[in-house]
Amino acid sequence: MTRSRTAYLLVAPGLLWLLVFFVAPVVQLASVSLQSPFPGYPGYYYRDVNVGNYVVALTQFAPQLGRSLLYAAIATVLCLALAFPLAYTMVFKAPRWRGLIMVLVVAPFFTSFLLRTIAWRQILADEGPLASSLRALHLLPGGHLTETAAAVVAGLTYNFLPFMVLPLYASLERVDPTLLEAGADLYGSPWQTFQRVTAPLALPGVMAGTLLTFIPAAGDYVNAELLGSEHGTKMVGNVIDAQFFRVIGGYPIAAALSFTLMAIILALVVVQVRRFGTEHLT
Amino acid sequence: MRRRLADHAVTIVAVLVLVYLFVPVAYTFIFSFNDYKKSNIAWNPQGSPTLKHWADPCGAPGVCEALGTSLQVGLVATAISTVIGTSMAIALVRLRARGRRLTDVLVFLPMATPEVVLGASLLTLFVQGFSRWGWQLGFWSIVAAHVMFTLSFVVVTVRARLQSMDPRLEEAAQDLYAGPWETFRTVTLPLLAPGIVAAALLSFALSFDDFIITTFVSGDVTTFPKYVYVAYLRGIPAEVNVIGFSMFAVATVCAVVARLVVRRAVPPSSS
Amino acid sequence: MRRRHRDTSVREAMGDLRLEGLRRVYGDVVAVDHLDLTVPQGSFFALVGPSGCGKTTTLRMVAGLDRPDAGRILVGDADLTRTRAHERPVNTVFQSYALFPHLSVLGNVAFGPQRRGLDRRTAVAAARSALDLVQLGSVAERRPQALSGGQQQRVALARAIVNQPQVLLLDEPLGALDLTLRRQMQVELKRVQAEIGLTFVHVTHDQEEAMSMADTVAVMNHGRIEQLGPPAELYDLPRTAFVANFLGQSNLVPGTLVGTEGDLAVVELAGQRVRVLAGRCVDQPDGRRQVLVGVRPEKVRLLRPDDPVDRPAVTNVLARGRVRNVAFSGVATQYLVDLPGAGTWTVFEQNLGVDATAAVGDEVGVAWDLRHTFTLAGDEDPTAGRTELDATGLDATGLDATGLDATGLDQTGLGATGVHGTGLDQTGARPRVPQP
Repeated sequence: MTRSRTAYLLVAPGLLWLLVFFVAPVVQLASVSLQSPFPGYPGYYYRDVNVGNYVVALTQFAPQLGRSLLYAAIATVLCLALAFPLAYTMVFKAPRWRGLIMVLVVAPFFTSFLLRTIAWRQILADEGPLASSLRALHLLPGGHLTETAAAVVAGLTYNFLPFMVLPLYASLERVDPTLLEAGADLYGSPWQTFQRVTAPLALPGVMAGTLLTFIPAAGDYVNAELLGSEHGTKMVGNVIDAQFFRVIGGYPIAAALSFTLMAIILALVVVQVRRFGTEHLT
Repeated sequence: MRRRLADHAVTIVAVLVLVYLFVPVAYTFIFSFNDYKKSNIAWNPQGSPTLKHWADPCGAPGVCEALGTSLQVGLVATAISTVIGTSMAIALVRLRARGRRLTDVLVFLPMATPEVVLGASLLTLFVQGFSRWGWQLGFWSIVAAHVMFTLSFVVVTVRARLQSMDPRLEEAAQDLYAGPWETFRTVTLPLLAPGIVAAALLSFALSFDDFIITTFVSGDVTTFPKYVYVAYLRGIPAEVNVIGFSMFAVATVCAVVARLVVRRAVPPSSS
Repeated sequence: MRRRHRDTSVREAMGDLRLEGLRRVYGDVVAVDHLDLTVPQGSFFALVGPSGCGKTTTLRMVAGLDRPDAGRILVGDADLTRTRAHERPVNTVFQSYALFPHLSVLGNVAFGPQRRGLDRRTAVAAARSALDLVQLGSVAERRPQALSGGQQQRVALARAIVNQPQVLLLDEPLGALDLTLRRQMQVELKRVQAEIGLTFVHVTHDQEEAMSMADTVAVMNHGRIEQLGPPAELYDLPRTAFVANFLGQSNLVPGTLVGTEGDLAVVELAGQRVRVLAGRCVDQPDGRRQVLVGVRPEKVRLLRPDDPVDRPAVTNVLARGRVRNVAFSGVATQYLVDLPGAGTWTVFEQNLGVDATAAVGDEVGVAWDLRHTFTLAGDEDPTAGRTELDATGLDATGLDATGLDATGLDQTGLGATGVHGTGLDQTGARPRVPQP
């Protein structure tokens, strides 16, 4: 009895915080997404059940929405491909360095991801060293590195890589190395051992990492803005940002888009949870 | 032979990935010596490398105020979210109370929501709700938002550490005459410390580096990432590079020191 | 210097440990079922049983780490049932030791005294003398994880006894140690107990360990105590098939009571007659004539068809058997003998002679001093308490019959120990040492 009272006391502040600053805003957003602009008063809205906002969001901005999901998916796969060797090395090859590497993976956050993304823009710029040498070698058919979809995806991959490394590392760390030895002992080739032993054991980390990478990537707009072009690489985040800050009367549309994005992502999460169970998500 | 090659390939890829992570950091470092107002655009064709930005990192107007704001927001938000997140994690793992499932989901949801949605929804609530009661966008709205989205990470990190802790250690403490609070103070907390430190570091990093949510809820207040973004349009002063790289260096040193301290206090084989 | 608590009286309770009608249910599983037990002050008491028999749950309830659904726990006259772990004059040596990794060995041992309000210097002094008692004074400043398994075990012991509890609970304390170390620690534990005279309640699945150490052994099964008594008595005269098979081994064969000869009862089995001291027969409701006849394998010897039976007046003989299997194990040889109508008998013979007594396929009889015979209720399952390996006769391979229980699955509560890597060496095969 006292134990559960203690439990409630301990949970209460966090719960309250989430209710006020997460649940309430999302509910508010839902209601805004159904509001209509006040005729004759730009920037003012009235309470309504205007499903039209969602129609606009889904028709007019379908390309950006689709692009967001596609870019985020590609970036997630790339992150996985890059993070796995790193996490694997940290755990099994260089255990003495795992602490230091962990620090190094997180530390670039402090340089500011904007600064780093801007750095990428300059490194990849048309007049930059990479683009000019590739051009000289005739390896750059489009002539540009920046302002391409590839640059946006590369930027997303770069920025969200740590979110893949950390959970992968955490789940690999729990793997008993003797299991790998057992795999090899039972005549598994390195690849088979990886396939049959390492990968399944790392699955919880892959799950968590996939979500932690895909979700922010799908909502990101900074990479598309800094590394993408004006047309053809904008993501849904750019639209939401623009509708909020630069389009008068854009609030309900922006809210409807936000809500759509959230709904799609939650649906994907639920599908994944159904397939693999919730255990490893949180 | 092939096997050894494959063995090394993994390590080589890992090293390349680390290099990849650091290319922009190195770029920032190099361009901090650029004697050019718009340091991000190009290297000053006439100028040789200069140390003057390192001598006066606050030389660019507003940059240190922005940095100060970011550090303050980061510290306050981290302190709050570490404390309430840790207590939440403890309650969720060690104490059985009703509503646990629901709390789990609620903790998970902010992580499953893109930042742009979080930012947008907070902005609507502030504009259409809180501002009517006199709470305007600014420092505290940023803190509130940062606590909200770092909280989940704290809960997850601390909970993982708790779950890997042998519950027998706490039972042993109770068996040795420690009451609930003493058990927590003398056993649970010291063993949890590495997890809490990791959670706090992560939380500070996320808060310090956050741009998207912050732009929505900051009003007139300028944080460091926001400063960078605004400056980007006119050309980034080299002082920003100095600060960006220094923060990275300081954070690395702090984290390494913290790890060493924690390792001395709690040996790695503790779980 | 002790802090005054509202629980002081409980903490300073003295006397016998008494469990009255103790019951614990997890969902549908009755872990402990109406348990009554008195452990006299200062005795070495062993609770032994297979995994899941409720012994660990009982221990946890005594420690205050689990709450009974019904019943009372008393030390002397003080009722501990509603008190919490830290309020009880009871300490535990945990199965996985549960040493605090963030404290030194000394810090671990001084933990209890400090929590009880002793000032630091007194607590440390007490801890040092407890460490000396277990001969670990030299490693006081080290971290527990830098010590060997045996040393960790002794730190755990010192950490518990430094508090001079009324009752010391030992939860499979030697489970993680290898055989040699285990034997050493058994001696050491016994010595410490004799030296400090505390009440020890020792939970184990290892019947040999229980019998060699304890003054009193209680055999638990399905949440109940099957039988309780001094080890020799329990071994000599088991009263249920479970006890007969779990403590050592027994040959149990169904038979029919056909009459008496003085103070002997006569039982017919497979057309032959054996005699039992009337006092060694289980009381059965009147009229029931079906019994299980039992005798320990090491009391039985093989009889070749032409061997004379010495002292026939006090010897039971069953003839016309055939040797099915012979397994040599150093000090003794184990024979499996098929006796038509009386099942397969196990016979341990000490290797006194130069040659084996019999080979596979030989025709033999079995003979034993009738005073070693006992009977059990006829409706009991003669294989109760045997492991599957035993029941199929595979134990002739020398696998310890109880070895499989040792994987730590017994933890009905927060069973973290099963994963701790100690399970492996417990399941390993080890030679059976027959009871002399």
